Amino acid sequence: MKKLLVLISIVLGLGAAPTIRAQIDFTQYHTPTSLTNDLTSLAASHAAASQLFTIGTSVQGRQIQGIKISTNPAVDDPTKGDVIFVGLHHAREWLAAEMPLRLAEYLLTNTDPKLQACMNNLQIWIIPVLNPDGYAYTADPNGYRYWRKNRRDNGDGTFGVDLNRNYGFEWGLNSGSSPNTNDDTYRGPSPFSEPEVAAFRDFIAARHNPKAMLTYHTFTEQFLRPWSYTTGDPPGKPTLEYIVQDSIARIDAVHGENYGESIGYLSSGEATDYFWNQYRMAAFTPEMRPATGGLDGFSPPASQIIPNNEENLPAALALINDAGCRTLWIKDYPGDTGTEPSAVWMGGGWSHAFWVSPDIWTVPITLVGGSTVTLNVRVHNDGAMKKGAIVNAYYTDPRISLEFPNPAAVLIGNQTVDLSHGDTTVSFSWMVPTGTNIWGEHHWCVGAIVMHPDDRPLTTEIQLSSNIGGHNFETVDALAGERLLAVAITNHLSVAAEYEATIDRERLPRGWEVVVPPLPPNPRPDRKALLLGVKGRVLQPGETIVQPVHLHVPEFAKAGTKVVVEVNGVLKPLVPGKRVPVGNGYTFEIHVQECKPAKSQ
Amino acid sequence: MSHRAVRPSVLFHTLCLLLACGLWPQPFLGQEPPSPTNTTQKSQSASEKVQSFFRIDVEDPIEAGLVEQQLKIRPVLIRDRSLYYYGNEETNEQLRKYGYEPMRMNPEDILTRVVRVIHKGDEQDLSKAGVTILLREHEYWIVRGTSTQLRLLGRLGYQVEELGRREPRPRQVRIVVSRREQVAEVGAHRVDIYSAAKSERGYLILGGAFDDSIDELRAAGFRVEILPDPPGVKR
Repeated sequence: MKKLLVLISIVLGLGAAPTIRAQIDFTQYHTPTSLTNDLTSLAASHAAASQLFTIGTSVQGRQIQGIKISTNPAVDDPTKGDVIFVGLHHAREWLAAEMPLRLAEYLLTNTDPKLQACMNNLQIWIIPVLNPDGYAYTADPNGYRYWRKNRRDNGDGTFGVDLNRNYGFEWGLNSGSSPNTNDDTYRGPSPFSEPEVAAFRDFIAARHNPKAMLTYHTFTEQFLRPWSYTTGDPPGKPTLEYIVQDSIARIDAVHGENYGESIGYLSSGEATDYFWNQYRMAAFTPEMRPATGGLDGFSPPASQIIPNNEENLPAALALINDAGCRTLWIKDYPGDTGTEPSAVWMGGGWSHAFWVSPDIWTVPITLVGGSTVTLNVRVHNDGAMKKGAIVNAYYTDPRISLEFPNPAAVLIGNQTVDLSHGDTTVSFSWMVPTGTNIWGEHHWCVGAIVMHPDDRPLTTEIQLSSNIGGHNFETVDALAGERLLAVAITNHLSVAAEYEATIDRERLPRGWEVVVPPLPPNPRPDRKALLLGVKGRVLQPGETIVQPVHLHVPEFAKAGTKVVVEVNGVLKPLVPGKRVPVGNGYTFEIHVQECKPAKSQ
Repeated sequence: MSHRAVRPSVLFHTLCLLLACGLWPQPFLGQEPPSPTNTTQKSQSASEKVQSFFRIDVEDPIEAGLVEQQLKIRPVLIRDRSLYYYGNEETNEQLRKYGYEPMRMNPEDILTRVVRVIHKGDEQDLSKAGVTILLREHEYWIVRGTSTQLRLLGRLGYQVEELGRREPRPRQVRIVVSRREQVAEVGAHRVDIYSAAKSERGYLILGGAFDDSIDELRAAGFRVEILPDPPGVKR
């Protein structure tokens, strides 16, 4: 009976408004001063779990302040994930400052052990107001309540830059921003020209493990994902779409609102596009209440603050749950324990080869074009039963720099399954494509993703999410002597990138040698590479190159010996600021054959 | 002798008149480089006065960002594939090492200002000077133009004033379109879209726009209805 009650309460509680009452007064809109005071009081009254921080100053010199929530807020802990919530890019959207403030209060006062457990693994950074100058101007009787931009003196008689058109990804498109200083969507003279935007960029660049970012806006009641600059699909669209739909369901369940997923127009130089492109960290824009309206939609009655906060809280908490509590996972390599990230770039190679998941395998192992094989994906569940989990499997030509899902990947299948505690193997019937891969071989790279409303992947990078596994395993028969292997690299990024490949030689037995010769230089020097002093091979977006790998098997190698050769690869985008390396690698299992080679003269 | 005695007084009064009108002649000269921290197009520091205005071609804004980061050249303006900056021979030599070809430009032909022009004659006469009309008000126009164009207006007898504290505000507009893709088309005409809701007649767009955008929209076939200003807007 008790179990039944718990079950009923869980069912009723799904998406329901959290019941903790606010101590901060949300019956009236804050002023810039009262918001700062409440944020300061909140941090002071929860000093063990929170601390104020400043990311920089505005164009008029105001501090851009936030509150960090963590078990040890004074220490920036690289072992924890970082989740960021930011409000009020646009000055007139006052609800977008109220919501993050309420979130901070809720997180610091809740006693939910499950949420606490997730928060223990995270550093949560909440910045209620990114645009303090604009906010002050909207609250000033001599200012203007419906001001949108910051208060940059454009020097031509006009003021303000639209902070959410000033980010450096796809900045400058007239289809989603204005070049004219007087317009409300003026993008600024150059990308990141505004100190508020540059400070936020640098703040996230300094995070060790950025997992998710929500940027609150109003209005029209939408939950938006990248891309904003185009109607085209972003990499990882299925994953982003899953989170959008799930978030909308959580929001709508609270007060019966009917959130959508598209505003219908384009925005370029926008925050979520930049952060998804730069870090593949989950980045979304809740456009909150009201659903419709004109300019007055930016100033709904104060009675809307509390219900707006209530309905948007569950979507924020779900993101914290995803980032802090993993229950579903697929191993990236045999010793993987589900830690995120499972591997990090060490400068000369990855800490682990994370593209050899033992949880992904085929029967039979050899993939012959046109044949039907069974693809198995083993999913681990450390938590309670997960009903209705989705497992997707994809294949693609083997390449360094794969993410799942990616635009080039082909869906093998998707299954909806109930995952009980422990391990579950999900099997797919896969008709291997007729023909061969790019190498003329019957080998493909397979990726699998597991998603459930209680545990959603927040990225498409295999090593960054325990929900994603990849298997790139190639068996090569070799004789003593020389053998030429090859690795494909495709630049799937939207910008030019420097390619780097390394070999993990320490794992090679005595007498074995593997050499990765330098690739011929670019036929035409790339000016971005010149500016950055990059000397390595540069790949343009979409370009594929082949990296030869020379293998020397010693004469004394015994037939039947198996040796693993790992090739690590990485792409470093040619962009200003932090250059986040992305990539993965190849693993070749070399089988020494019986025959002795003819001795060369 | 008497001529000499009178001249400073005339100059003083002219100066006072200009200041009283909020009209300082220097901005219309537009020759000086901007302060990198405070404004984007107007003010200047003493050390930068020796600098001139140049343009280089860049592939995209990412390259512009790398120029700024690696060579410490702050863009004044990036438009299409042009990066404009204030620099000197030293700056340009540095750029040439990377294959750029700096071209000296006249900022008066590139950088624009937004000013108030008191009504006189026909609007079409105003447009002949090449300026863009941002707002048509009862007694004045708000226009955007280069220094060269604004000086021409002065020579044509127009009274040109700085905006001062009276910042231009967009108009509230209502546009109904039949297809969803047209919402994005409206946005591409620099309309700040507040909401776009499906209605019986199609998609009802409420937004903010200046008159130049409204002109463009109407020329493109959109029917634009101008709504009353919200409280707090003084024109």
